[in-house]
Amino acid sequence: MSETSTLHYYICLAVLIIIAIGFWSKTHTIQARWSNVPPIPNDISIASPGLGDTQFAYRSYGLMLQNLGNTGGRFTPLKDYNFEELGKWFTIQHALDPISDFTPVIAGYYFAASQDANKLRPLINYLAIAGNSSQGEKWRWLARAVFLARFRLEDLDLALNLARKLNALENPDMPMWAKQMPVNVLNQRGEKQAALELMMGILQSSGDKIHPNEVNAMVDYICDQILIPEDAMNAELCHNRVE
Amino acid sequence: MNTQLISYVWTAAIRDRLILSAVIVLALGLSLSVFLASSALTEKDQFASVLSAGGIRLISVLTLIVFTVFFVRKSIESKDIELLLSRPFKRTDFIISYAIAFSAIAVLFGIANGIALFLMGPHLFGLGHVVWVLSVTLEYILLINVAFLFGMMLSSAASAVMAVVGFYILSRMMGQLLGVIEAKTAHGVWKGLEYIMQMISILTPRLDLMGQTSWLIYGFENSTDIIWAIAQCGVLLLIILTIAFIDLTKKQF
Repeated sequence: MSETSTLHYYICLAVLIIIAIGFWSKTHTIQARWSNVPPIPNDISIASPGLGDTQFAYRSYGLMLQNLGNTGGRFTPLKDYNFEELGKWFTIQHALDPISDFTPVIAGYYFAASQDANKLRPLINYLAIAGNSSQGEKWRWLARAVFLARFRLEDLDLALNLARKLNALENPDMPMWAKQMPVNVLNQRGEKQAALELMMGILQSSGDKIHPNEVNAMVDYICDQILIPEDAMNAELCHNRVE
Repeated sequence: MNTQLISYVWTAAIRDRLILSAVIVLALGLSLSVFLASSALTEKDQFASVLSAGGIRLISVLTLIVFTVFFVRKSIESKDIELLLSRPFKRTDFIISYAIAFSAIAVLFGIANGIALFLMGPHLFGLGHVVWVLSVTLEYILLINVAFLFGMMLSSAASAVMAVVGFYILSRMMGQLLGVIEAKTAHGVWKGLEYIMQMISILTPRLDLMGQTSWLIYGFENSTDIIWAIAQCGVLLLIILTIAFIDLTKKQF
């Protein structure tokens, strides 16, 4: 090869490098855009991340959901997430592994911290599914759903509905405060008589099985929170407490 | 069975640094899994177990497939097999000896997987782990023999590797595909495809029933499903070896 033709290659290479620098100057500041929560997989591909291994798929999706929107040096405010799609992902996770507490944790404590409380409904619906079980300590996710519905979403009807589900769970290890949740919501809604009847019902059915301190706390709640002061003064239950 | 043929395969495995590469790749796979698991908000141990097991299973399968296919192709192309067959061995002996040698390597990988999982969390090790190791060992035995067959039958090593990997993915996804078919939602031409897929599934092992990582967390649930899957793998292994024998007898060296 002659020196002239070799020189042509060097010139060609130099021109190509200059063109590459030109493209780089336009592209080096561009970051991949996040197109929000991805759509859920269909029935066939649901376990494909684990090649048919559902637990592996559950863990892979779990890490993906946890880090969603916060990768590659990007941070996304929780209010910007598509909670409708998130709710679907959580439901899929529940189908893949109803025993694990990982997904309820990220739903109930991480995503529930969204700046926009109005978006939380799909998440609350998921927690209601995850907590509607008598197994172990699953009830606490239903309790979390009641809390979020009452204090963040401020939907007392939904909170009461969920609290009644919690109350109906057959779990002897569930604490009394969880059983009493409908009372709190009814009281908040101004349905004092219903709240009183429910609380008295709990006291009559379970009062002998729980610690006296807890009974005293329940009586205090009835006398100080549910009843108006005049009624409390006349109620035998509160009268005995005062004495 | 011929011990010289078996030791020939094992020598090749050691010469190709299969064991050393496997140890390094398994260590890297475990490290990556532990790193990923450490970022989980909760249940870090469970994440580490599942991701490690799933990861080393895939790494082991790919390592075994690549080694076997390239070893068999190299033996054919360098006329090593011709030389071996010129000696007073029966062709049946050749197939059985190679199958035993490859299966022993697969068992070695299964044991290495078990040791790796034990080292990951001795406090978590239980019956679920033992069943997981046994079932993936059977999976490795089956796949290494499939790789042996495809290496013998296909003239290109790359095509053979791709074919075995495709077979593996299909075997792992077969449960999902059959589940969709069982839902009976297809009509028209799709119905015909369902029948084709069901025919294919006759010769596809249900590897999705093997090595379920949920056993590592929640323990092994005694189930007859796994027994059926193991029995099916046993029959398929015999079919694979029979096809390999037929292929070898037809080959003109």
